[in-house]
Amino acid sequence: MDMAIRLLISTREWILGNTISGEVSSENEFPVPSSVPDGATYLSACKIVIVMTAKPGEETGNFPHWKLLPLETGNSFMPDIKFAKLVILINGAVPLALMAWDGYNHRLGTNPLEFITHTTGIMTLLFLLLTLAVTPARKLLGQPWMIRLRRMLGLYAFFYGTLHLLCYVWFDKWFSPGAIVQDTLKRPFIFLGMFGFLVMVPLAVTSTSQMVKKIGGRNWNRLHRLVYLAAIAGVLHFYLLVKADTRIPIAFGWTLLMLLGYRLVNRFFPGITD
Amino acid sequence: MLIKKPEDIKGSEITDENLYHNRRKFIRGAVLAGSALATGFIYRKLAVPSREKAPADAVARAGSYLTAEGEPSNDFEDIANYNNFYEFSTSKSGVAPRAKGFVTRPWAIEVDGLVHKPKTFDLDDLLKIAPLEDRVYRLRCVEAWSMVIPWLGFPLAKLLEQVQPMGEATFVKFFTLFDPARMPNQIEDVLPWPYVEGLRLDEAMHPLTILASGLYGKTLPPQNGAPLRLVVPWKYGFKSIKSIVKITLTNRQPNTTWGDYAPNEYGFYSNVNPNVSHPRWSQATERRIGEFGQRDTILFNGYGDQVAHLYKGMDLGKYY
Repeated sequence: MDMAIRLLISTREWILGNTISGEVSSENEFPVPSSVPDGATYLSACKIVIVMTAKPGEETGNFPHWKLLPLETGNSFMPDIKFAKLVILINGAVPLALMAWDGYNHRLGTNPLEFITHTTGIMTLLFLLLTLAVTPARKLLGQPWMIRLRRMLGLYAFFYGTLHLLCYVWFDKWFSPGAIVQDTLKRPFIFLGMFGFLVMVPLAVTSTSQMVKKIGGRNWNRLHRLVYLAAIAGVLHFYLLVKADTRIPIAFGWTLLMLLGYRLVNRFFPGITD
Repeated sequence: MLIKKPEDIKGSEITDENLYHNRRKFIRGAVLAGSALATGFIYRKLAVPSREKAPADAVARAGSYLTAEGEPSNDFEDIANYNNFYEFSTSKSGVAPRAKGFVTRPWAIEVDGLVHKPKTFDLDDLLKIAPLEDRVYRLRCVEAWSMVIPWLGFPLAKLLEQVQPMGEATFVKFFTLFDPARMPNQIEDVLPWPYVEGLRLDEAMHPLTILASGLYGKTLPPQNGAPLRLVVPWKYGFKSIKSIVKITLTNRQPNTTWGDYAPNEYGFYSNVNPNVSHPRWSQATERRIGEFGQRDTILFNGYGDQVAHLYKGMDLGKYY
């Protein structure tokens, strides 16, 4: 049993990064919370409840059977946020790095400029949807810490959006302000793209913790609801660009609809989705 | 079951404390590397398809053929890996892999309608109607990109002369093969199948209008419309219908696939015209594949001196 508990504690340590000091044994030497059932062993050091059961007919002294009960703080645990952010930072950069590598090797296909424009656009939408998925995910999974990953996802959306806009301004319009303004006013899909990007600008600017303090949490939340508009404009922008095969933009649209629908349901029927 | 007491465990079996902490680093490193690899794998799967190589014997280098104006032809690999051919895939880079192995023999082409001698041609007989010649044409796609392509073919007029159009015939309608077993994307309803296109008879009889069966002096690759396609160089690319199985002469303006799909976006004439925008994007400029900048689009794709007379007195904004 000692071995098994040591293993559990070490595993938990490896994953979560909090080191436990001191001797640990299977003896019930820690105060047992009221929620722990009779006959269970509670290890406060690793916040794990162990229930030991002996199979009927088995000789005593055999290795006890055990199972893990939910962790003390209602299923939620606190992982290493810094590490989780690092995972997002690295993975978000992977498409850009591969695209740069492919570009360097002349492997971006027949129309590389179009490829870069389309890919950065898709990445923008993808990160917008991921940003919007954080709130439903943390509530449905009961993992409040996930909110702390949202800023990085949102900033990635803005980053790829900026690259996407740069592609258009550079490859398509040659930095000609007149042509850009004319195009924006004349073509609904360009207008929607521009609108979506401009809406993201204040959100990116006010993304720092200092700005949250300065503006105040309530107002900050209100301001950042603009992200809904950015995402809607972005998906419509994609839909209007496609000639006939609208399956991918429609898939983006349905996903966005579900993410926004979750919020509507939550607003008018609070508690239903928890 | 052997349970070791602490004194039974040899010193050598106890994990070194440094190693123990390194293990945590190791796991984190593995999570980072593993997730990045997975992301990279998904990106590769979704984003960058492999390109079909030029046949070893093909004289397929960019610029080995020139247009009458001296513009260099695009590389074979660009022409063969960037195709709008929705019967196979709606992704331009996805057509070549899905069209690989498309069987083009036997192939019959039925020519009927308002003609004196309707006939179903076997492809190989049809290709003997007139000598095949190299025609280096600009191709301007409605999506605002362009290429220079050295086709191998013969004038459509030579085929039409064989069937002898009647006096009342004024239009020609073309049909692409409909066979979802061979053209896999035809099971999707992205467009109404089969793909159909049309020309006015005088457009069809124009010497610039050809039926192409080859590219760079070789047999046409399936993704470019094998075994036989139309090429009308002064119109947007979608007019140049691929993998033709039927040609009908008629006295009414035929419906066309894109015209049916979005009548306000794709007109019957669809002549290249920088002054008439697509409702959603501009047609004033184009990106020539292989070039970094944008070119100005030229009326009738630069063939105006040869075809402008066909549209004398017509409002090109109305008949787009």
